[in-house]
Amino acid sequence: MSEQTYPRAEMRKSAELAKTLDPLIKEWFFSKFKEFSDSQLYGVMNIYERKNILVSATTGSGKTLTSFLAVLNYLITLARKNQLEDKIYCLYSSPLKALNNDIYVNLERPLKEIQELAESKKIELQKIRIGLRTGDTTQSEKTKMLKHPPHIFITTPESLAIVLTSKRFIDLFYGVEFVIIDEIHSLGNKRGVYLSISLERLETISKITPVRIGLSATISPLDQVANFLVGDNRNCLIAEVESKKKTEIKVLTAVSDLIDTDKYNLHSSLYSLIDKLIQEHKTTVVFTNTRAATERVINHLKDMFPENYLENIGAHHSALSKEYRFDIEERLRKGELKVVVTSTSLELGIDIGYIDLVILLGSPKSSARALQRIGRAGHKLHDLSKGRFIVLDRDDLVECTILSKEAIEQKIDKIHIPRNCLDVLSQQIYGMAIQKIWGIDEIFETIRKSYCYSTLSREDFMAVISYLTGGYGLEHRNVYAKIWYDEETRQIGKRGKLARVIYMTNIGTIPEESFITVVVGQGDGKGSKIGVVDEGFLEKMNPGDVFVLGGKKYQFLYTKGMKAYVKAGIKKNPTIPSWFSEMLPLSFDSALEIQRFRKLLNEKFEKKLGKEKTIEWIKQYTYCQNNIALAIYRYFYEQYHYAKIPHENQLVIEFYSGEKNYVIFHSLYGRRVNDALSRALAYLIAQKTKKDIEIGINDNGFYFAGENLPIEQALKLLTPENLREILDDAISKTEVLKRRFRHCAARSLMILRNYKGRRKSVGKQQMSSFFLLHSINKLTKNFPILKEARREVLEDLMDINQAKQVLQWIKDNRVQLVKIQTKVPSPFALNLILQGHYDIMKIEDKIDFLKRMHKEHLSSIVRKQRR
Amino acid sequence: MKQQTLFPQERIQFLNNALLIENKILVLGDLHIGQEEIIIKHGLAPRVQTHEIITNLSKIFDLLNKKAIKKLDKIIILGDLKHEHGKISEEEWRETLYFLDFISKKADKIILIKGNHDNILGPIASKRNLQIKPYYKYKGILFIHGHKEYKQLFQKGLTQTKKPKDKSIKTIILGHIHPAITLTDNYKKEKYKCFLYGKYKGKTIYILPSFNPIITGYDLTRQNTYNKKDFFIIPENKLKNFNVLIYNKQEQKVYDFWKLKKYQ
Repeated sequence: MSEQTYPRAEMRKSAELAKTLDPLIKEWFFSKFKEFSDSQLYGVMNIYERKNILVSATTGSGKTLTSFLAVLNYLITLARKNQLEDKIYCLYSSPLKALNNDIYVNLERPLKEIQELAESKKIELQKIRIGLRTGDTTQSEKTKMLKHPPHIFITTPESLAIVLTSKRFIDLFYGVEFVIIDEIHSLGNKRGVYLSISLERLETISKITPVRIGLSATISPLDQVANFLVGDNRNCLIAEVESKKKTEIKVLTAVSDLIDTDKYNLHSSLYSLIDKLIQEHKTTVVFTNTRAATERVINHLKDMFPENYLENIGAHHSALSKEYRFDIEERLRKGELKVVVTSTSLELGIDIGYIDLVILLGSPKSSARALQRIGRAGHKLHDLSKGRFIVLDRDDLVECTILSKEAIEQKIDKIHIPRNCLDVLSQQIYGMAIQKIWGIDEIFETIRKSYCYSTLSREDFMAVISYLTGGYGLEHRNVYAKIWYDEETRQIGKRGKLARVIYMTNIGTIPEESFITVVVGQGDGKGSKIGVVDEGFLEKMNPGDVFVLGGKKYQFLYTKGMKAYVKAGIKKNPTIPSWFSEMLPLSFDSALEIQRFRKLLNEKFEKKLGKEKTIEWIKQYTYCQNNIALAIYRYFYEQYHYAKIPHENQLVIEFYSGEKNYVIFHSLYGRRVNDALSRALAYLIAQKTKKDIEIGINDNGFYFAGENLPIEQALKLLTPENLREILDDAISKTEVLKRRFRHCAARSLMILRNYKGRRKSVGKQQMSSFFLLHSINKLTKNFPILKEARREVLEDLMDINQAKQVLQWIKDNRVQLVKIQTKVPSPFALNLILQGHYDIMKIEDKIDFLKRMHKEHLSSIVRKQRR
Repeated sequence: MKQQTLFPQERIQFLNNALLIENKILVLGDLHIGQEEIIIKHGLAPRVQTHEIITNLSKIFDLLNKKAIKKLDKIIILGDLKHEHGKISEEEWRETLYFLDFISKKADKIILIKGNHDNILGPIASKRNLQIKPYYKYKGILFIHGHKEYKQLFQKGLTQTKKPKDKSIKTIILGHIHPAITLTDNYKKEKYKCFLYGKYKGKTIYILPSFNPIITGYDLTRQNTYNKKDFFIIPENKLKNFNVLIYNKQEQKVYDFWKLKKYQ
């Protein structure tokens, strides 16, 4: 598959642009702005000339106005001549409802102003209508839109898919001339995949080929995103707008020594530092990565500095209600808050007013994310973006230092756009069949125009058709088929009177994650509700496990329905880290940057450069302050002298015997790659030993623990070529595959969340998917939706492609395996052993396990009797 | 270890997840034919469970053949033959009849015990001239689903009086709760369907797991309460002292894991 490249747009002359604008628009524009912004100079003329364009620029650079300036200009010239038709001229889609509301307001206002301007000049102007359609739009508003079609139609990917199957709405799309896709950088997921087909569907409806405009924050690789925007075989320009915003980024530690400071001191110093930074600035946003940490930070700040934080502090994360979040955003805009603590939810989109400091508590895990977050400070174009990383441990220290280097150098890691997703495909084909009767080749060709499906095989396509037409039915019937396919006429159409209703009420790609309510099940406070944990987290727990929720420790007892019962007042240490299921993985590109840094620093040690000079080099290379460089130096010094420094050409495998035998792979490739590598190896090992094996994984590496670990043999068996085959088997019985299957089954409408107005609980959906998976597993490994669940696990959750790359490097000797033996875990291994999340590779047969458990049961009885 | 003494009534044997009595009566627990239907209703999925139930049953008949048992006297379905409470769908009709026809060939008599899901089993049963009984007695053994007590049998109900009215009953065989437990070595865990065996009010009690392979059972180690009061005629706190028995298909024998409370 060759990567498409696109020409770069050039900046146009201000005078040329000014000349092109309608006098009304021009007057209005210069009454508001002094001059055109760079992104307007890049974009407006090209859009005016109807060229597809991707505009990549930092937040606050006037991107949105860039796209609308060209559109409004065109509409006003028509309105003057009384030539505006009753149709949709421009489609605008953004993934955020809140952003859509903003855009609506921000278009209505200028239109009103232009109208007034026209009136004052006695110019007759047709009214330009704006329509907003999201999940919140009422029926009467929808009807109104049908009577008086909006000229600019603002919507979300989901609502777009709905209107594309609605007969009366389709009629309004016969001549769409502009399509604007905003926040395209946040579409590297199934919503994006979904939207890409919707755009192709729109293309088949509209008699005019609309010009496509993509708006993006800084993103990489631009060519791939442009390809995603325009699809297969179409031209596109890329406008890389240079940022004029200055950034000031620093890495800070709360204490000088991250390893020898006791917990209590670290804790109080950390909050003192955060408080100090907040007090020195007007408004601060703190990013914490997880919901739990968000609550914790707020509580500690309130406890330690009650005089500073009363009504002026707020939390913002996805588990909070929409109303609450909206209120926080509103107060932030009004400047009523001193500080907002958020997990990740304030990263995107909407205007949050004046922020002068962003604190990153813990690593943001990718340079793009770091820049996005820091960019929230000083939202206006020429303001200063101030970002402070506060590091919590030594791995965090190194990671954040390199991420800040990348952010300063504006190096962006690559976005991952999923391809050939068969669940999204099923939903879309169903939608298409509802819209009209299609020829099978026509439908296939339309889909293949989307970048996400340009490599879709006929085989996979036909498998989806077969699923939708009720094939795979084990016995004889295709009662619940969703579409029909006539092999004679080679045509496809919908089945059933309820098709449209089913489609509209079940559409979407975001899986419903359920929250399980945690309730005290025995002892003090029995029956009281503590909070919620997500389903993924619960899956990890066995009865008896201890976890933290809201700062307190609980022991998990059992579940009933959607409730988890626990015991409170537990003294034991947690057996499951509470941030587990929310953890962001370190990006592969940033991981390689750290590996590169490790290599360079290792060279300094080998060349015996000396402490002073080495520290000086670290400061120069990473732009960090002295105390940070010193801390990094110490960490690497210890690793170098005690063990070996793993780096981009040297994968250190550390053997260590504690309570169990440990084999630690210092493979700093990010958790997605490590997940794939470790599972494949564990599977091969377990095949040999026929015993389950314990795995720990984090971004910096992975380890195995067990009695007998034939690593050498496993390493020999694993190749870049057989990785997928091995992983297919290795994940086939995992919980994660089951859960992903539920998501895929819902997306492909195998399980309906909504039927005839009745909503199915997630618990019921889970049950259904369990039954489905059970029966499908009996049929064929290649059932398309199961295949998709596997693809999602291997390519989106894990990163099998980069894992393959790593294996290739090992094969080519670009990465050498270096084995060392240690008496205690080396400094670099410490965090991995302490924090790596545990999983078990199940290999032992269910009946063998039963036998073993029975034997143990018998011997325990014998022991008791002897006593 | 005197495991043998646990089952004084050797005339009751464990066979797969079913019971065989005197080598001539086969007892099957909750089948819930049609359970798939409500689950996949209007979605799209292959139907496999009846097929699997029959595959499993065939294995039992193979074993019986080896024991030179050619035809059984009776097959007793311990309630909840089919799943849907309400209207019977065409699919369910077909599957249920298919199943009944299959087992009819294997025994002289089919006895259907009424379960809580069987409100509308009548039409199907009458189509094949089968009767549905609230309970069935055979040589001191009472077969009953377990959701409901019958005044004819127990004066004020099994739970109310010390002694049941019908003194001839020595053993009770029930279904209804689909027992299963999770075994763990604190390292990994697996869920198994199980039988429960114990004494209650002087009677010997056997509780059968669901015979439907798709139903993995109600995990008594994780969900340790019944859904509601009067859910089952044996109270929850008494079940704790029952023995957990798991059948190993490979070795064709049942493992005794002792008291349920050990695992709760």
